[in-house]
Amino acid sequence: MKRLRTIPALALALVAATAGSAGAVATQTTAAQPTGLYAGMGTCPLSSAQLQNPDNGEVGCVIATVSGGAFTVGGVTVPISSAITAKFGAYWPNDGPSVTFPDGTTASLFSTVTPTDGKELSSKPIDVPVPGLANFFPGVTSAITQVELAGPITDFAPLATGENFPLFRLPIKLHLLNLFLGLNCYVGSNTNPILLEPTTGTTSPPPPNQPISGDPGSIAINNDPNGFGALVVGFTGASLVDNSFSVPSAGGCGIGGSLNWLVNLLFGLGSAAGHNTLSFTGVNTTLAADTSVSDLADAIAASAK
Amino acid sequence: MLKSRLISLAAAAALAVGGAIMAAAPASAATGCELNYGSLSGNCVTAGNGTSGDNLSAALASTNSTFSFKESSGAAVTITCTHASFVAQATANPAEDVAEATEQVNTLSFSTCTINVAGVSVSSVNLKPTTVGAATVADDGTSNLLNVTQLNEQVTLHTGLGNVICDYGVGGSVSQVQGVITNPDASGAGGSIAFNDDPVAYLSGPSFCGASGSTGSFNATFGTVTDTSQTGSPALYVL
Repeated sequence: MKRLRTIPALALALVAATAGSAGAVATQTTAAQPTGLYAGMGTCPLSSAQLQNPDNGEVGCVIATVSGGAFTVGGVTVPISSAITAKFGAYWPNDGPSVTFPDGTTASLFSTVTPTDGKELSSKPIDVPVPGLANFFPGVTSAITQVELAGPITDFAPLATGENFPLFRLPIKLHLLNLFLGLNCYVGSNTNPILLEPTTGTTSPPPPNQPISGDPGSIAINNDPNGFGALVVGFTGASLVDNSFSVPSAGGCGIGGSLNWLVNLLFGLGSAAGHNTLSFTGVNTTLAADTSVSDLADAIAASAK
Repeated sequence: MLKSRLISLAAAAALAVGGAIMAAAPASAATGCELNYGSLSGNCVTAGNGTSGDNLSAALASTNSTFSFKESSGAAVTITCTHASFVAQATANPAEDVAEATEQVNTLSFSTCTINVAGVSVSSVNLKPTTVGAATVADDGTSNLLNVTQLNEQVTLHTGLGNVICDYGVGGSVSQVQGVITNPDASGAGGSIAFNDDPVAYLSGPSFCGASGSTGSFNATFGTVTDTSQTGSPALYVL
């Protein structure tokens, strides 16, 4: 009896420790923060070498929130029950890469830079029940799952909104926290990530998955309210989908990976492409872009209160 | 009633405007057609197959043209242009009151355009490549009207994120874009075609260009249409 009462406490301790190091929002400094169109862009890496490069044709700051959706691996579906926030700097060199769509629209492909607080991707852990078990003790009868980046976000293409083309490439890994799995149980890794390429358009997945469609939502382009040259683009209410990705097997679960097989068995891992689906719903994104990083910095600073 | 009307045609461009119309009529120096050059009772404009008839041209009058549309979020965007060029050829120029004159619009371009969004510029406004426009002349009992019944005008916007292609014209809830025609005076001056808040359909493009099923509003006044295939480029009149 005493042991049973202890297990949930230990599990919660594991969760708390991990959340504190991985998913929690950083404590804000006391400095004034950007407001209005630039809200949330206080950690945009405007001073980074990448954004300061004089060869850039365009630089920007991005903040995006996902309020819902679901992640399906094989037959296991996990709802996205808490918000996911992504924020980063972006840059596009003169004569940088772009893609042309059938309707003639061209989209520049931006590279991204980690924000100054290092938290490019933030989310609360998701409690994923172990299939077949009643979830009496989170962290024991479930895997507390933390989504982590497995590499930089690349090929960010804001104008791909509405096209059958990925808006970005997002490599992730899933950190599974469970009393029996230890602290190093992951699905995916930096060298073998789960590579998500969500689109607001229609997918072309391998079978047996069928094409599914997202929603571009609405778009608003705003002028800077203080007369700076920044272009602030707001995308609201979008839905992004991807059902072409594969999910690798688990690794580091249990002592020496002794429980990898169990995680793979319970959750159907590794799962080949064509058997997995991701949907992000309620996606709101703000992008502040400018041809001049100094002008953009001044615009953001002018909004601070 | 129709016979006594003097009408000048001007071509409209951009976004939803159709050019001038008409032509028709029998060969060489025939008279009594709906479209005439030089005077109301002048010679008939020669009609062809869209590339062989008389060339009819017009330019914007002194006022600017504007096209306003709403982004899918509902925010209003306005494109203002100070110059336009239109080239069309008459494909039918029947006798007055027999049938409507028709025209194929081969060039419809706006230039020196600005947009009221910082960080965005207008790269070009032209007929969508490989397309042509079409128009007819009608009479509502009060005025001669230029009805543009076929049009796909392509607006290319440059942003720091890439180039956006927006297509507007006739389609969906918009079956035609209509301008009011005024003939030039006897000296050949003062003709016009006026488009006032004419709806233009959003045809295709990213959601910045508009929401599905949405329409924009077109305003422009064009000056006298001239028949540039004739010596001296005489003014065009509509019976």
